[in-house]
Amino acid sequence: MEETIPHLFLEDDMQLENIYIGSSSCVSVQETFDNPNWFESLKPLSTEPMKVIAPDYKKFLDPTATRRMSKVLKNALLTAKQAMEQLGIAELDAVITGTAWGCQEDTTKFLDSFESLGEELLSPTSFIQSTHNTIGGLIAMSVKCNGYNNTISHDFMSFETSLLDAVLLMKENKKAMNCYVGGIDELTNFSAGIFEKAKCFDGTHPVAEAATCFILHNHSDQKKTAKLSNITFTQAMDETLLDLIRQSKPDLILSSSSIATEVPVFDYRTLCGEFSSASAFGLYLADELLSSPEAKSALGITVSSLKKIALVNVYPEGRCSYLEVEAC
Amino acid sequence: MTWITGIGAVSAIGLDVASNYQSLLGRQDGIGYTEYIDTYHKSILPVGEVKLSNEQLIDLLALNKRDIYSRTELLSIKAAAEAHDHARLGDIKDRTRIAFISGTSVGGMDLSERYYKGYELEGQRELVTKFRKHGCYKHTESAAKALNVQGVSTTISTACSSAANAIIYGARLIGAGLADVVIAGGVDPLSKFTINGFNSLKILDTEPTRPFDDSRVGLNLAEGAGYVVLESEQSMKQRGIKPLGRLLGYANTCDAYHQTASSPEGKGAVLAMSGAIEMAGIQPSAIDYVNVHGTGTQNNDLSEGTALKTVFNGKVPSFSSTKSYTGHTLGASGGIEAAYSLLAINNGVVYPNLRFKTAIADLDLIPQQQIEYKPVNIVLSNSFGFGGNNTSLVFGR
Repeated sequence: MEETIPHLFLEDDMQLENIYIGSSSCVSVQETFDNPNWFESLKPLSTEPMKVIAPDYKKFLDPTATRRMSKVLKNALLTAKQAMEQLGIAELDAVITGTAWGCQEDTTKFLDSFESLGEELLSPTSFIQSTHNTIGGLIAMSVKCNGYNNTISHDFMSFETSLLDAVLLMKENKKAMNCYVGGIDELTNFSAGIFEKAKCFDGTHPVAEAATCFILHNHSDQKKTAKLSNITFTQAMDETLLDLIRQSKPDLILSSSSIATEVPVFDYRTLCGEFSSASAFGLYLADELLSSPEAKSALGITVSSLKKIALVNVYPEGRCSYLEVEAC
Repeated sequence: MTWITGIGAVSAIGLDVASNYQSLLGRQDGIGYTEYIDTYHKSILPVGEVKLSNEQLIDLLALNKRDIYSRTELLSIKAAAEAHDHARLGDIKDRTRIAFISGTSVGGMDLSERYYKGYELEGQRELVTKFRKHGCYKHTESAAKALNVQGVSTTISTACSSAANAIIYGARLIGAGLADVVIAGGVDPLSKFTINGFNSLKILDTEPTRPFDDSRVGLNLAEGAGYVVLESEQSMKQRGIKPLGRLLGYANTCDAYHQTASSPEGKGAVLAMSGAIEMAGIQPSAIDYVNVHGTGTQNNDLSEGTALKTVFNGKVPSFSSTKSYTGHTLGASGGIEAAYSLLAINNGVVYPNLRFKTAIADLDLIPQQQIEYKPVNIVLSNSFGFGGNNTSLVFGR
């Protein structure tokens, strides 16, 4: 399995206009939401499964409209709205949601309802809210976006292949776009138990959850916090990947795996815990580190100059993803 | 330019493309009562079930009998292997240039709904396998592995438009040079979960569905898988393979109106159809046949019909819902119907819309009622789903 998956160098091969992170928002087990200095009061991770620090939903969302929504839907909606507000945009051109496990709370609720009540006279609410694309559909409805809408659910690659979708969309359309890209997963009491029993994760970090999103865009004159400079997929932690690191020379790598490199590696899962779309939190942290020297020192990262950060994920089935962002 | 060089399909009307096509020509629907699902509704709600048990599918695919498979995996491998072989992809040595993109609504729900109550009780190995098969991605990885496909793989889950969106993702991968060949489409199994879900929405018919008929009351839930092989012009020429057609245009839009209902004017549907037609660089009048989403629900057919009249400015071309044969295969429908669209082009045939009697009041649209042989150069295929996810594809000769 030494062969590589075709990879994507945004600047060289594709002759792309630059793709930027315009803004981001995150609800996680850290106090990331609506708090620019979250890294100054880091919460130590527990050894037990960890749920997000719930924002004060009433302050940001209409309680009547969100009354029947599960936590994952509220978090997704909240972060989408906040990211748009930060970028100062009222409309989106695309909504792309990466979620490995979708809307688990409603899925389990509907399974339970016909197990316990029988198959007659069931309420459709939890079924309606159980499909993976409920999240993207809800965001589109909420901001009235009739544009491109996709949901990607591919376990550990859900977020990375969502980013790739956004990049391919912007490349094809060749016009200025603002694309929402989310990495969203929820943990329920049921799934926490099953994840542990089925050993879905390696146990290094507690299982957790988050809703993280980015507005990616390709406008050179719009606000931006970082430039997306590479997305590559390889079959394994092979020479292609190591060559890529040697050639690209990132100042820092965010990863939970050991990588044969001189570049310093920081394990971001020590902050956010383990879940299938944790790489979205990793990108959120990378973006933060590029724009905030305070974040760097608060996290004890001693690299003197941070201009380019890589995110390397090695998945249980062997495949790897490489994302890279640069300061702009 | 993205070419199509292979198709594969499994549905209630056939285990392969050839038998699906024979059923379409013979007006043979696949709607009946389930043999494999233990549900209260098994003799009340007719479904479109693939006429093989899991054990028979495992035998047919020569898989290891001792392993556990979701029905989703089995159906996916069956149809994807057919598309793979049809396009002679076995000849391609560099397997990393072949990508696999699949769509599904519920992934391995057929296993989860049977076992999730017992997850806490079961032995470790069984538990790991069954639970991991729940994820949408699992069938994609299994099929890619079975076919030794090593390029980018991912899974789309946009309910009933999943397969159509997988085809778009695949076309973009080829456009960006990230793959030479992409097997793209989708799969969904029948499950107690979806049968009860759609039943709770009161949109299942207790009779075989009547799409676009004034008396329609709902859909028949179904299962299946459908894939197309998308290929770059260069790869197709190098391999000397004859194409079945081209993917001329596509558009993915969102109705942004309601989680499960379409807007009365079909806003998202209009944007999807007109976007795909615009990308194809043709006039709406160039479309010879529309394979409509046509689920047979009150809401979809009225909304889609209104949108058709808007897009075609009242002059709607021949159209039919092949869901009157297969039932609604959810995330697979865009893949199965893409295969049917390419068969229509290659054989110069338009399929009838079964069981139509009376046009929907106020809409006055009459679907194709008889088999008609005529030149079919361009087909529009619609896939509209929950969450307002609307996708249209334009296939050409």
